[in-house]
Amino acid sequence: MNDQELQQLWQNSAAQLPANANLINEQARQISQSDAKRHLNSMRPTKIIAVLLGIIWVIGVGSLLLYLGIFAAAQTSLYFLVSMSIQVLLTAVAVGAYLYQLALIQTLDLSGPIVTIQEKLHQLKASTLWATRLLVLQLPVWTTFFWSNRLFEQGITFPLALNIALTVLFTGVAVWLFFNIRYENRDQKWFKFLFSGKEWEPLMHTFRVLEEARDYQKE
Amino acid sequence: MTGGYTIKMMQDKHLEREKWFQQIVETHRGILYKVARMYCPLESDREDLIQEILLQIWQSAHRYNPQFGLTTWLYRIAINVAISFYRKNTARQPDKTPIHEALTGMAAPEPAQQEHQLQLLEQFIQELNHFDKALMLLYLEEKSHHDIAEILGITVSNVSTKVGRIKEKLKKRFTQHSS
Repeated sequence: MNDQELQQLWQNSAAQLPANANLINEQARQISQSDAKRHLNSMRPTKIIAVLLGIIWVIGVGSLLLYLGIFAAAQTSLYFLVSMSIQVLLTAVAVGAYLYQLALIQTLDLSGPIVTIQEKLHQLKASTLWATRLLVLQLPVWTTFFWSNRLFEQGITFPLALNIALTVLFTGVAVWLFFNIRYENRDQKWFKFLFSGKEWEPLMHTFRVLEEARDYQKE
Repeated sequence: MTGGYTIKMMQDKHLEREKWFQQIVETHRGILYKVARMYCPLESDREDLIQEILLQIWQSAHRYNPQFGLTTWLYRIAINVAISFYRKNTARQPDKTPIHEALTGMAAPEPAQQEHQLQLLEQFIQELNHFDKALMLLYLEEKSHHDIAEILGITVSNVSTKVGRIKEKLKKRFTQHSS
């Protein structure tokens, strides 16, 4: 089959519009006559809820910590104040970074050349992993916020040794994950295990497109 | 007075944009359908994709530069949206409706051989990666290598190489099935 025959075959089929083609005009009319932003639904509800909860958490716990630090510092454990401050700070930075990346994605001009735009767009989407990397850094503080001076008063006891071992372990895991949760490790078993599930499927789609876009520029 | 005049100007501009948008959709809706068909094997997803493409065209309308071809602009937006479009159910089995039936809404009395060739073409297209699908669509739409390069953002020589490779694969597929 030569070029002309193939193109003719396509034209004979695809060039014909479906019977319900007029629906598209109606869709276009509705979009132009209503607030188009209402139709935008690029963020999944679970992500919107996660971001909202993050903001509420940062404001709520942040305010509480500020209050305790200023007005009740003497009665509050320093371990609690420092641990939770680190946690809130990391959450605030992660939510901020995530929202900033989403804003960049939303404002990207999609009328640009396809391979270039797809590479930019999916690079941005892949960089939302930054938020996850920042969030894993808070793992160790969940093993220290309940510490108190009394824990250290009796020397090396079993509960103290266990606590320290857990903190060291969580710190190691957090640092390792921070440096290794990267696009380049997408094919590793642990990565697939951590990021499997329906919520992460779009991210995997992003990785596939990014890889294809990079390959496509090679002759 | 100035405020009223400004509002009137804004309303006129909006009406102008609305008219322009509806006109280009009416004239070029075939492009949107073909892109949607290329990227969404499932009929149910296709409607959502067209909606997303329309939205993006509407929102990008103010950025359109008449110095560049309108179809180039539309193809870029439509394909960019289609590649980014992700649905959880994309892993589901595609419908088995042949291209011509799906597009015409009724079974056309095609000769058996042509129908078979269309099915092969459809199957072949669905196996391509995101960018090869775009290339294949533009090639089937008889776009020049220069135009394809402009739309995709790769060099003309790269387009020639890739079109050659795809045609070779397609030829093999047709030969295998006809022998």
